[in-house]
Amino acid sequence: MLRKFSNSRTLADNVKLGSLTAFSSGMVNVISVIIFFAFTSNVTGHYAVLAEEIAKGNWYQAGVVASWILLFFFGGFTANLIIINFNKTNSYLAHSVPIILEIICLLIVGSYIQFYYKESLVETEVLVGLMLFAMGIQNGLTASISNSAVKTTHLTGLTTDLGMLFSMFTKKEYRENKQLREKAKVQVTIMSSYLLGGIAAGLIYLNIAYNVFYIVCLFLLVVIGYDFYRLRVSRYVSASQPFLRIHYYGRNKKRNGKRNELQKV
Amino acid sequence: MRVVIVYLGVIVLLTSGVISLMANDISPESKLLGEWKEVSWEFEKLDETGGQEFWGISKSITDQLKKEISRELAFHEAETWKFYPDGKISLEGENGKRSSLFWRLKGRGHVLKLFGHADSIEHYQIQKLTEDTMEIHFNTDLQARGIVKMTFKKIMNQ
Repeated sequence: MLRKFSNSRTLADNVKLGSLTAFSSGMVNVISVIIFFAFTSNVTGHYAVLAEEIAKGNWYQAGVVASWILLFFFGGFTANLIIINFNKTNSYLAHSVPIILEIICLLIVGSYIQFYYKESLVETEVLVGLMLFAMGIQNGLTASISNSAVKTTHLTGLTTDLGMLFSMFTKKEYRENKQLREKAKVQVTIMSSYLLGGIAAGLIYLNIAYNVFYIVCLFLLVVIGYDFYRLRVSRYVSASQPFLRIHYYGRNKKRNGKRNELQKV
Repeated sequence: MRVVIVYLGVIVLLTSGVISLMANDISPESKLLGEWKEVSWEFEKLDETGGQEFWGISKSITDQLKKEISRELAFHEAETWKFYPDGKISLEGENGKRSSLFWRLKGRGHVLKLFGHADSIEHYQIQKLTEDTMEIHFNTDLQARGIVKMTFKKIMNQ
């Protein structure tokens, strides 16, 4: 899910990443609306609200909404900054760190609500900002590593793309195009997961309240853990199989010496 | 190095822009504190054809209808709302009837939450909040008309 970058990603990689992250962002969005009365996984509405507040002369609210938009922006900025700087040294780590940051943000929100939240407006504004930052990170990460094929925190572009795709599928030549069919599969998966996440959050909130944040973190841990597990398994297999080991070392330019050594043996 | 300086400059510029916006206004929580007198009840959404009436339904709400609409609501028959900084709200009716509830603001300060009344939690949309005027909207299904607009004026001698 996280190891592969850009065009080397398969349909399965994108579907898995898209479904898990869209499910978690759907949950986050619904929970934030229930608890804080503010959307946190998309910013289109916030732009409209910002314009409205400026027009009304409500400068305080305009400032709050502007800071929320900026935090979403900085989320995307941070995620991509980490990826472009560390992708060459360790792609798995470069792709995991943004998710870890997102988990930390959501854990802070969940724990704060659990232990300290007094429902003051400042608290609400800060916590919503933190959630928007987390969602910016997630959206930045998924879009960056999938070459913009996977965007999981909002559905405006996705719904437009789906509309276009389904109009193209009225023609046989497009229906037979594998790339377009795969794109539609990814988009439909993201859409359904986002919706399911939202419904699940709305239903389980009635029983477990703010603990929903911990469940979202669990989903994100699965995203990180899945690739970690795959990495460990592939390393174990290649290390215990000489031919695979030669192949593994052969891929790593820094270990060319080790490869030659193994070939001699 | 130059790029870092440019980026830091942009971040500082954006942050100071947001801070100066917020510094030039009062927070909705502070605006809300004090005593508010209810001045009017109206239906906000009425398909007007020029006049004040449509299909025989007037835009303004009569006292009888007001009582009907607010029968199950936390602020039933209250005409003066007093917001305290500790999150309490005192509601006073014309007949001297007084009740005490709790208030919180949600979202960006556009949703008023009232609770402490018969285990129910009520949310009202604050459509307008200035130093001296407050407009609260809420939905009602009575007469199937939709949104009710309550207007308040602040009692300034507080």
